[in-house]
Amino acid sequence: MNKSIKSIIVLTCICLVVALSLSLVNSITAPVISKHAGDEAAKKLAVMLPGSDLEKLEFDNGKFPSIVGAYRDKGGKGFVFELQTNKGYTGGDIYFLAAVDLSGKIIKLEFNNYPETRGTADAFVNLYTNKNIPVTDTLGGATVASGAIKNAIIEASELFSNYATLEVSDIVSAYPLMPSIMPYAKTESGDIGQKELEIPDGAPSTITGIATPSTGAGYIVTAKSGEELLVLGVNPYGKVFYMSDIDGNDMLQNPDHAQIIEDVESLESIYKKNHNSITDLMIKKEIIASADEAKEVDFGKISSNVVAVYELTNGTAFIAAASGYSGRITVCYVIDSDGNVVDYATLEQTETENHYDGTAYGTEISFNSYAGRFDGLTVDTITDETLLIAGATYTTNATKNAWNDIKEAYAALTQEAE
Amino acid sequence: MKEFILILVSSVLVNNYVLSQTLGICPFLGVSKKLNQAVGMGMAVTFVMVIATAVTWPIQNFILSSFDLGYLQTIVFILVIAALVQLVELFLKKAVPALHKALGVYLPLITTNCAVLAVCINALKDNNVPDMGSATFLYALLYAFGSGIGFLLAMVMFAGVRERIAASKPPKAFEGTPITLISAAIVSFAFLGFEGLFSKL
Amino acid sequence: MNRSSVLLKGIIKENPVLVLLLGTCPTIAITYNVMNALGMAVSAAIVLICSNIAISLLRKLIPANVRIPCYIVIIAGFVTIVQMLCEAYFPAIYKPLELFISLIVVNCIILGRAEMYASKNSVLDSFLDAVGMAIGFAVALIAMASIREIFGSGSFLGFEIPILKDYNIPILGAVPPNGKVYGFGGFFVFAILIAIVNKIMSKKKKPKAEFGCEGCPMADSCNKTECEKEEAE
Repeated sequence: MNKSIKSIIVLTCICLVVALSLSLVNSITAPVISKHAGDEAAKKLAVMLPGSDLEKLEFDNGKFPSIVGAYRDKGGKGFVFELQTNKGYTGGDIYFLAAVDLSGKIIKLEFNNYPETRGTADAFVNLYTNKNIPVTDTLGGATVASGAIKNAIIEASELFSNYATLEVSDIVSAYPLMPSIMPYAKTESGDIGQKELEIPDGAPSTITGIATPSTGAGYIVTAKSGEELLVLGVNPYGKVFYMSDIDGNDMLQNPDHAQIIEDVESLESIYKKNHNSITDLMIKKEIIASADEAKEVDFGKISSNVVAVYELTNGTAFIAAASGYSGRITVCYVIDSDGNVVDYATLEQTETENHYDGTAYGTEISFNSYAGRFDGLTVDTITDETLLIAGATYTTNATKNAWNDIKEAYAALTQEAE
Repeated sequence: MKEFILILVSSVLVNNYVLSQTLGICPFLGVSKKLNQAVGMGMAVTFVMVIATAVTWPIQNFILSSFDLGYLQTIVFILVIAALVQLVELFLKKAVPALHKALGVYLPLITTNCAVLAVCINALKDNNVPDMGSATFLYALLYAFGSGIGFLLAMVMFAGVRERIAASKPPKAFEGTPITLISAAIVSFAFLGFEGLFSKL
Repeated sequence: MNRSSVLLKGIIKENPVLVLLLGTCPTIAITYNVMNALGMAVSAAIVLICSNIAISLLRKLIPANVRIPCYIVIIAGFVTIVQMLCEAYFPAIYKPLELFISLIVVNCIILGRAEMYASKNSVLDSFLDAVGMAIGFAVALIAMASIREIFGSGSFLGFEIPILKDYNIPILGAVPPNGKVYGFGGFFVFAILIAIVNKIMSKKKKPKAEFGCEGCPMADSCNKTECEKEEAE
């Protein structure tokens, strides 16, 4: 019996001594460790908004249950929100970070814990990045998750509006008008995919914003004429064909705003850029040997995806840009005065690459064999069959849209000539 | 349901403790010479892994974390495992002597099996399976069970391999341990094939 | 046994990893780069030396029937201290080794030396034994890691080696920076090392390294006779 008691006492003593020493060491090291963890967390937040100096914001947790943390950049770059919701489909915690700039646009979205259907986290990042808060879109097939994430972002935007006005820039406020100004410039999903362009240095101070649809078939410019905010539609050549106020009321003939038209048309550097790249591409694809061979033809009001028309020695080159599966597809048809298609080239595309099973999908439009389809065809003999790429619906639709618009433009031009 | 399958597939095949994570090597190489030894050890290890996780998981989550005693994890866990192994041995001796005779000699070795301690620590982690979200007790137990079965699977497979080795004649310097290790290398290489399983599920 | 042989035997003749075949888990698992190997070698050395000294100091006090739990508590204590210090002051080294520093507590080398040597010898001898074993462990780890990192990742201690970087064999080590670690490399390089050691030993007519009951710290409680009976079957 004595032996057992001695054993237990010895064991207990050793345990106690060890436990005490451990707690001593712990009191020294624990603060250092938690500081490291804090630094790591701060680094993760800083990555969301590069170059920012973040300060933590205080808020009422009861009012904003989905917000774990809110931070503002002292330098004015924007905000970073740590959001968490368990109202998704699986009931697990969806934890993500959102970086929002001062205008309310989501600059970066990152999911750190995502227990929902695999792969949809990336889809959400694609869907919501560069959209303004509060977001309205939902992801097809992930309704419950969309709702949860959307609502978390709505809470963030409510908190956001406590600190900054959800100011929508002029150009963004003009986006709703774009479908009526450029009805053809839509992608398959119905989205115009506006890209905001930088206002060049030295531009008139009346210009407040410039944007272009993803197809590149024209421009939208916002300008301030006195107190009035005007929205102008510009064709790829830099010719204004549309002007209205923010509500869509036509102002094109209004003499008070004539100066604005001049200002907008003076932004040559924006428009010229587009053209150099087109002639470069034409040279690359051997439609012409040098830029001198192509003379620009001004075809006035844009009504289609046709981006440019050039007079060449062997015919007229029509360049059209349409939205394919992964982005802009730019095609060039050279048609002579008799309606024969004398040359064809796909100038730009970023479609789906070769599959391992050997099909080329959308990229087929870059192959020489595709250009060969148009040999001997005329404006009237090109059909849907000519353009069809099996298995690449979006690409085919884009090429069809491009061709139909070119056909229209050709008809309009030949009619003019007559 | 899907989560159960994911956890099992992950712990048995994709992240097999012996062949992918290279833990639990000592018993793996020492006790896999004969099939009955391999099976006995594998089952004993699985048993201890599950029960150890069942005890350590609540201890960590309800006692250690609540009182900020996280640093005591290593000590507490290894003591629990050592005590459990002793208890299991005593229990088997009294209750199921036949089983004790078969397994008994391996039980003390399980205490120093790194895989068991590793399983107890890893079972606490979230994301043992990608996109799984937070761990729950049930998932932790399932993970422990899967890890044990993976260990058993590796042992049994390797017992077969070793019988073949015993019948062959490797170079003098490689006889014994080195050739066993090279075979283990090749088997672990084969298990790499399970990597892509997750994207298919 | 004179003092110097106590120290030296751990390095070559009774190298814990390459001859006694103890502590193989970390050897195979973390040696995909040399930095890890150094971190592990130092951590294990600290635990080994401290616990050998502590257990040797207490050897007369600890009753035989609770000695294993006592050793475990003492070793676990030192492991936890090393863990905390490493996490606080060397976080970069700690990160890849996080789990394995915890696993030092079940490393057969440490428990084995405690049971077989420290509990029966003086403090100074235990200290020297620990130092020798620690150096032996370090030698084995660094040898493994050097081969795996140089040929597996084409680098050494994180510095890239120009020509080898292009011809590296990823399966030997890991895909940097935090990629998949291949178990194949661990087993394979370990096999080569032991084969080399066996070759050297056979020239000196020493017994080959074999896995089995001898090195196992539980040998006593394992009840040797039963073990042999199993082997004989």
